[in-house]
Amino acid sequence: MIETRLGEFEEVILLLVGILGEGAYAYSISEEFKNQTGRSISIGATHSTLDRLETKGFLKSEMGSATAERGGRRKRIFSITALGKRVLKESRDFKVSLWQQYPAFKVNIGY
Amino acid sequence: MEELKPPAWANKLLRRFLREDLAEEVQGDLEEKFYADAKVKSAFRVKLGYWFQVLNYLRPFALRKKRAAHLNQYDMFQNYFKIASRNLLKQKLYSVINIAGLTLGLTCFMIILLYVQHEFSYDNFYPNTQRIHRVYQKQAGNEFMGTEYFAVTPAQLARVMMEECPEVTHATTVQRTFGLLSHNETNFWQEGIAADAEFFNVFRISFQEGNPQTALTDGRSIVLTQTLAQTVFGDQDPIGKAFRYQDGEEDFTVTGIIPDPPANASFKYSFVIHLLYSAGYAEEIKRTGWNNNSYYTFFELAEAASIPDLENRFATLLKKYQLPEDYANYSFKDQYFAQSLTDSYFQSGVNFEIGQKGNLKVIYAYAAVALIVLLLACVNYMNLAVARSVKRAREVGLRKVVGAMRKQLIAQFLGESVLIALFALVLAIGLTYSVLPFFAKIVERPVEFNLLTNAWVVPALLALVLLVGLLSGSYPAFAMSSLKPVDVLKTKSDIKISGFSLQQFLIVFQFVASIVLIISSVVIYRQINFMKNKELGYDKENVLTIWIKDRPLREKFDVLANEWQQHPGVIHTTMATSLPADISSSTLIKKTAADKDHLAIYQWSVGADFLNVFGMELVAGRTFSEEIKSDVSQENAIINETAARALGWTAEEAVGKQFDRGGAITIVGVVKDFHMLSMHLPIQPLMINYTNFWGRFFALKVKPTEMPQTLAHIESVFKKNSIYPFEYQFLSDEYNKLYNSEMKLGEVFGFFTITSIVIASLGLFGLAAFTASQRTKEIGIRKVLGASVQQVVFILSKSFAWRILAAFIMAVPIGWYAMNIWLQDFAYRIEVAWWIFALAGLSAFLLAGISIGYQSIKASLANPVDSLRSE
Repeated sequence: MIETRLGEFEEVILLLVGILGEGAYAYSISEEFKNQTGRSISIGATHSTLDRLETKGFLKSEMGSATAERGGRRKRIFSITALGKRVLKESRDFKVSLWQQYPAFKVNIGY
Repeated sequence: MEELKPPAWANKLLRRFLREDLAEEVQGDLEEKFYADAKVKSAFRVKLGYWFQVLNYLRPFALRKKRAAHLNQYDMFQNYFKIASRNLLKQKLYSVINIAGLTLGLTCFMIILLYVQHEFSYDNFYPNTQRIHRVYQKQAGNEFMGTEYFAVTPAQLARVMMEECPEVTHATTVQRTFGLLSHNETNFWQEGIAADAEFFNVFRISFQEGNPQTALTDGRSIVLTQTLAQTVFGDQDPIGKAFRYQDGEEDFTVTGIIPDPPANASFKYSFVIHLLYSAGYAEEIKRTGWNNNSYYTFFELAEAASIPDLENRFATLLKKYQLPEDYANYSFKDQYFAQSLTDSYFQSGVNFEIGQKGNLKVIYAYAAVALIVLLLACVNYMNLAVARSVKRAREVGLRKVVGAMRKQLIAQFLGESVLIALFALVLAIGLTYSVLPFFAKIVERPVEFNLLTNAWVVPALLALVLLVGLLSGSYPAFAMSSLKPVDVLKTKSDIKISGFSLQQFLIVFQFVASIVLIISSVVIYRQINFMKNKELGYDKENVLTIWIKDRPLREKFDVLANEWQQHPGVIHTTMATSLPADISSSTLIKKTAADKDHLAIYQWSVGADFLNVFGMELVAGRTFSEEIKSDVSQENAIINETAARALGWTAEEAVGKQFDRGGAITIVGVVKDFHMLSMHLPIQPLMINYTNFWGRFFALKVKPTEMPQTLAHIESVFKKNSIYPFEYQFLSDEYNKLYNSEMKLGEVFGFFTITSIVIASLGLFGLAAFTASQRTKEIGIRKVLGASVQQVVFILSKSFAWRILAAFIMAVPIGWYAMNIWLQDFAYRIEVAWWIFALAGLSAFLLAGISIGYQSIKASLANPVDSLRSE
């Protein structure tokens, strides 16, 4: 049994952090989530998930630089930890293995 | 253009709840989004969006942590709870007794609270309730049914009041009416209100359909309640539909639909028609004089008008309108009074009231008893807490040693008892909920379990629980907190605390209350039994009575009687204007036409066979016969013995004599006195006339055997002659109805008595258990030294026995006094015999004996080895 301890929403957020790289902070992640999924989400909800992922050790964060449009306030930039990357990979492998055991779709898996 | 900025209030809120270390990044993020949105959205939407984002930060991770999370007090409070619950669990018997007692007490209290709340809510649903009043009058000298007050007024009064009294904005004349409403061959027997056009201006009922101003314009309009409209018309629109009423020739048109009168309406009805439907009223209002007191007058008092002013004005109105020709021979002096609708609900001692009445005396009695029961429960708690607290002396000592202050200990003990009271309240709410329907049935009031109708009920209950908790916890709290730690901790055996005298007093109090309640219940029960079984002077058994709703049927009485008597089950039949249990019509007579003095005499008209139907006895003269012309023309009368005495004759002398009632009436017979009124009133002078067409009841003496067949026969004959529904009552049931309020009182008192006895016995049981456990060693030694079981039981029970004896001595005069006051209301009553007190005392002793005895015997049977072995 593979224990990912990663919820669906958490997984998406984690991936988005990876995609955004240097520019991953609560607001930009929320915007990216909206762009990618079409669902809007509050910054607070994103922030709360980021906080949780950080507690679990999948993310780390540091205060970034200040910009003018934020009234000179700094951002908290999130980045994935090694543990985070491994969990993401495990999660994908687990799902792929499940997909491959599912006869109707076995052929179409392209990995 | 002004620059758009994030809403300041939202920022303020955010800063208030957000963790400080998050402030910079969060505010930054939110502001960035704000300005990004500002480029594409309207200012309002952007601001709304900002608020949304701020509120979405109300998540656990982002909130400031409370600073005071880990203070010492919390651990201490936790400890209090832990100790309290351990104590409750450790001494299960006491806990159960305590909580059960309090629950019972609170339940009684809540039931009565709901009942009182219901009683005081009568007629409070009109928007102008405070201003609605009624007129009633006193006719000094005209005593009827034990009172000189009457609720009825002349037909003209309402109109005159509106015209001549500035204190009155609207006034309406009202009468009860009942009859068959017919629509398309379907008939509905309904009771309603007949009133003039002002009715809906005084009683401001909001119409569901129709216009209150025009609904009652003439004698042909009818307003239906919702339920009646629903039953008759279903989904159709009732407005404009036609009705026949009381078999009349003309149609009534539905002009409005009103909601049903609520459960707390003192008079209920299913329709309202215009008074003009009755020819009598139409005639009466054409006259100027006031000599027909058959109508009720209600009015709306003008703002800031005073009742005494209005009553003074009534006096002048009476002078003006009581015409000399009507009042030449009238010896009473009328006086009119006004009273608010809500007050009139509690008014007693007025004849011919229109609606249901409440009884303040009964309400006070219930409230007093409920309070006593609650107090008993508090006393129980106090007693047991004092007893139990001895076991906790060491806890107190230790707390003091480690630094507890006196007020902290007091707070701990008080808090504990408040919590227990709160727990009992929760249980009591559940119990009340399940018991209330039974209680509502007993008091015949639709009392509902609704704690939220009045805003004050819930706070009042909480305050009550606080009070109960503080009251019952006060003594243990103060006694315990005053213990000296040295005393408590150095001795090995349990410490004795003072308070024994208080305990004794409390037990005596409990038993005084219980014994008084037992005495009351027995007396009430005996009086009811006495009234039900008293020799009445007539035979109420096996008499079937039919209230004649179908008026034309009265003239067919001979036909009906003939057909009925063809069945062997029907022995005798007659007709009467009222039932012998409740003759409520009176008139004035004089011994001779020249005499000045009147004699008020009750009046009853009956058919020929009444002596046989009602089993009455003639002491002199003869009974009526339809063959004798002067009987039929009502020139002859039969009187009762009391009337003969009042006229100055013996029964034998009276026969053949005459008296004056606007014409000479010859006495042809004297009937033995019978109870023509309820036992509250003495037997009054009575004259009986003959009638063969003018009655309100048919009465049939039937054989007690094969009743179903007889009933079927009676019904089929009735059905053949009338379209009205067939309904009957037995005379004995009608008789019992006279004592409905007493029976209710008896049942409620019985209920309370049992509750209070249970509570008192529980308390005594607990206390006896405690005393026995305190004295285990003493008992052990006594037994070793040769005491027998009986002797030990005697020693243990002795002190309790003394207290119950003291309680008995105190309870006897209280019970005797209270019950004599209650019995004053009855003209025929039982003696409060000595054996009632003996019975109450004996049962108290017996119950106490059972409570104590079990514990004492258990203690005295114990093997002394067990109690003496450990030290």
